[in-house]
Amino acid sequence: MGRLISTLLIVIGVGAAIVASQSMFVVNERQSALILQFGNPVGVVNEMGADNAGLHFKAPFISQVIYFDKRNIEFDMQPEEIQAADQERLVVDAFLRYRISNPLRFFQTVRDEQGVRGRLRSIMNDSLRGVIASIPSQDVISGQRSELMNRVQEAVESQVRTQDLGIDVIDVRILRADLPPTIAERVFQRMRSEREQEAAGIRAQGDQVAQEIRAEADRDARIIVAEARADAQRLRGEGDARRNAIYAEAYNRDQEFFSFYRSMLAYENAIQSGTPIVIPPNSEFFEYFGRENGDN
Amino acid sequence: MPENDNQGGGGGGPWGSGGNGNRNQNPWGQNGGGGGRGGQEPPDLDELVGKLQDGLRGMFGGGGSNGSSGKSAGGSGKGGGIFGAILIAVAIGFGVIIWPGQAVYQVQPAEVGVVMRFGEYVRTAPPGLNLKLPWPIETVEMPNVTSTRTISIGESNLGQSQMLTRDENIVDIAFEVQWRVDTAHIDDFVFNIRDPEEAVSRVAESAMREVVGTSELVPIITTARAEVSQRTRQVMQETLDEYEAGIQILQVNLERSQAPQSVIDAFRDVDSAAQDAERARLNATAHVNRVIPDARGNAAQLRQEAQGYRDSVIAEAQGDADRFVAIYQEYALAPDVTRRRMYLETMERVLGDSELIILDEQGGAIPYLPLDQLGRNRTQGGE
Repeated sequence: MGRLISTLLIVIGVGAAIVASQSMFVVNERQSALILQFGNPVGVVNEMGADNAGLHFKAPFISQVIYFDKRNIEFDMQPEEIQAADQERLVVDAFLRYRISNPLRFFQTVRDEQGVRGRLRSIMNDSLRGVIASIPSQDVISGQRSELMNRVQEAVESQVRTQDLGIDVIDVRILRADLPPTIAERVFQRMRSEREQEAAGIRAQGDQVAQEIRAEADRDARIIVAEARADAQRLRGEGDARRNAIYAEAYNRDQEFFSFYRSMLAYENAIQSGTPIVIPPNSEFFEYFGRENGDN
Repeated sequence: MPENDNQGGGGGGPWGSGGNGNRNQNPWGQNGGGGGRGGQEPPDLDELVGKLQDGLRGMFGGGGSNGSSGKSAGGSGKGGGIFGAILIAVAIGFGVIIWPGQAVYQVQPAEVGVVMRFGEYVRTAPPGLNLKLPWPIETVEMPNVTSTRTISIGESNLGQSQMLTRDENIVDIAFEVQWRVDTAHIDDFVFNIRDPEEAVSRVAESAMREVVGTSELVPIITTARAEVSQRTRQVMQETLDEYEAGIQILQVNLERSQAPQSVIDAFRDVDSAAQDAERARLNATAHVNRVIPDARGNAAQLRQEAQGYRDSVIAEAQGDADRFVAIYQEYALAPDVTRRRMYLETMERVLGDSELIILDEQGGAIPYLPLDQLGRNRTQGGE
């Protein structure tokens, strides 16, 4: 009897514990929760803007709690080949960050993150293609990248709003906008030939400069030597002129004597010793050679 | 029955005292202290506690009545009693020692304790020993908030490192991002973002590509490296702030920024071309340094020679002239005699040294001249 009662009480106690545990649930700061009663949504806890994480109560057994991540979540798209306005193909890799803002709508439209990924994939794809197809590839790569990202984000946001997915798009970023591998190889070739040209230009210019320097130096050297030669000739001329003047000044005192004197010097210098000289006996030198009086 | 009594009394006692203990001694008391310390206990705590206590009393009250009825019922199995005793001992141990032990936790110096009550963020705790309500009421997370974390991008993955520049070149970039939790927004970091590491890494690559895409190749690999790092840091910080990620980007270091491997030879050749050009210029300068002094030396020599010629010619002429003048002055005193003497003296010297052959013009016959003998005589005369 007592045993029966105690067993009964234990059963009741355990039952109460189960009921209690079924009627309480914890919503983490990182989560929001949706309460379903027989599949019907009856309440939302700690959704965006409602800061009420913590311990909550619900009707036991009949209601069910579904948790959603409230944080900033990344959605990564696979790289896609997309044609820009100038028909150039680009490999675009983008990612998106979103947050589940309305757990009820989220649950109704996509049920879970798996579901939203599928939707986002096609939305992102559409938006990227739409935006990129309208601008030249150059702008995708460079200049207006942030503007481009803003436009993609707007496009994604408007589609998300239209489809009412219960999420907020925080940011869309283009991770890469690259040329496909075949075109990249072309870019490498172009880069190579550009550099080769540059190198050849630098070398040619170096040679040119070197030649200019050499030529200038050679010219200067020639001029220096030529000027020196001119100076030398002037100096020599000066010397010669001076010599002539000195001679003239001296010899002009008696031209006849000069002729005689100079002839004497010349004979002495010109006729070497041992030179055979044929002289007639009646020459002036032999004036007295045979005749005392010297008359011929 | 003593067992039952014990069990019942014990059941009533320990549960009750356990409940009391829980209620009065350990967690609530400590929590009260903690709350006082933190000064941010929500006002509805007591109500919450009340609910809990009601819940517990409901359960344990059942247990208590069970015990008392067991007492009255009696005749329960001994084995069941022992089992119950062990169960209760375990429960007491848990209730008195382990469970309250949950209330003490240590926060390391680099960490901050983020305390959540049933998942709701209630406070942060500084490094050191801290108290909280035991699990499952309060839980604590201790993220490391002071250490600098580093992410490397492009170091190993080639596809990641090649980026397109504005002038449609491809540059090979590897960089490192240093970041840490923004201490002013620790709650953002803990609650707001999934995969913060991943987020930093993706945002870093995206930001770097954006910056590289707006710059030209040559500055990126030469002069503008610091600027690229700086701008990347800025874009990253703005993006992460927009995410309310509670992340602070400290630094972006460009570790490698060069032409891609397959074209790097061409780029190096440009450098070596510059060196070649410089070398050619230096050679030319060396040529200049050789040729110009050569020419100057040459010129100096030419001038000196000419000067020497001039001076020597003048000196010679002066000497000759002086000699002439001197002789002339003598001559002028006695012209005829001097002249005759000079003539004869000269002839004497000249003819005395020569092979003199005296031939009469009137001889008629062509004289035979033994020229070889004359030569011999001359040689002998020379000797």
